[in-house]
Amino acid sequence: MLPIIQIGPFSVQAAGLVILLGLWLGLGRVEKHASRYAMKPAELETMVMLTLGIGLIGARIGYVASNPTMLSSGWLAILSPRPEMLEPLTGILSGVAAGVIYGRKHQFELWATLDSLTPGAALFMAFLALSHFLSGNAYGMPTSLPWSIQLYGTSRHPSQMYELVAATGIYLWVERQLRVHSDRQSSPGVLVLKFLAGSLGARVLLETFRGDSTIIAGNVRLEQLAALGLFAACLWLLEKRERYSMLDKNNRS
Amino acid sequence: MNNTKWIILTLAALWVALTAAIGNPPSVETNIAAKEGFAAPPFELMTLSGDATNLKDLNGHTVILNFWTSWCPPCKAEMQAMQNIQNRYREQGVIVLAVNVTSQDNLNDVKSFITELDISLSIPLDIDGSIAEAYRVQAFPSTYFIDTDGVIRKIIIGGPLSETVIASTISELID
Repeated sequence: MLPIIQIGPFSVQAAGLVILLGLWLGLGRVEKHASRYAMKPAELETMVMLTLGIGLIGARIGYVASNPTMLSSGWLAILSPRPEMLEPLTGILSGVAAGVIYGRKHQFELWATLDSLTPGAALFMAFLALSHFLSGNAYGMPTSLPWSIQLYGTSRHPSQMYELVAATGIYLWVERQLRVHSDRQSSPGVLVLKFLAGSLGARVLLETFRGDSTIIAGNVRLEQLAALGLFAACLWLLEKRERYSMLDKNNRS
Repeated sequence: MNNTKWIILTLAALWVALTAAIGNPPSVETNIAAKEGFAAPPFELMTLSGDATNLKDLNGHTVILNFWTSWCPPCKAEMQAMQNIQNRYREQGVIVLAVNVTSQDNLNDVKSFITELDISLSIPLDIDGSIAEAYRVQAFPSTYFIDTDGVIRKIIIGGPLSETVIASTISELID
């Protein structure tokens, strides 16, 4: 693990750097494939940056709202760049709302937009897995298997590596789909749903080897159960989109 | 849904059930590591006032472990907040240990710093830097919130931390 990279007097968190790199490279993939979905790359990038920016602001507002005594600490405290001073739920809601509003204003088609973001999202997930490895987060269960790694005082499943292999495989599959199937506009939504189903299916499988799962009644892992539910929803939506696409193709021909 | 999707979904559900039935659930980590959810690395240090502080003796207390140096401006900015927190939560068994990483500091500067700010906190001195290394401290200040069982519940790198942030973190541990 390499949590910190020392660059002269500056200590840079390697995991954070990798996430930024993943975001930058992911946006590059979005830009490359945007025209396939009749989308303008600049508008897509603006939507992504707006979603992230508004999301961060919303997360900070949410944190301040749940800790109102912060208001007496002054503006410097409220604007402090502390990642733990972010409320995830308000961040996600406000970010998504900003993205939706921007998309509606520019008349983005929902499924085409999601498909165009998929290559970037898939690449970002691989970098996210790498950031977990560098930070030691998402660590594995203790094991004595020959490929175990020494982490936090014992031999463990290299769960971050499992995650990286799965995410990289999914990303390569997405890129292959884009190369092989040129006629994406006739089946909008299929790519993003297959990507989500693949990612969630991988999470269902790999959560078994995680050492930081939340256990609920009957030794069930909460994150695994949630992933299974979302996986089922994805498969159902995928079925609907595939049938819609088939009907649409038949009507056109 | 078509048959293939049903088969995949069924296999996934079976995997979840199998994991719950025969898998080993992650237990509370008893291994020692400078990471949230793990037992805090033990140490014994001499304080500025000449007493010995042993982290093991503080089991049963909520401990805020703050690593700092006198030349670090955010450390200076948050030290008063640490003092206020100690005053406010002392009765509830909260102990603030402001560990000075003396291997990267100067003892005279440390004494001047404490006198200038009128701090009465316990100031363990990490003379050789071994404790900072055990806790993987790479930036100042770094703050570790340790619960009554000696498990690290939260790590905050950097600062300055406001009294509000410290209090909201502490209140979760006390509850």
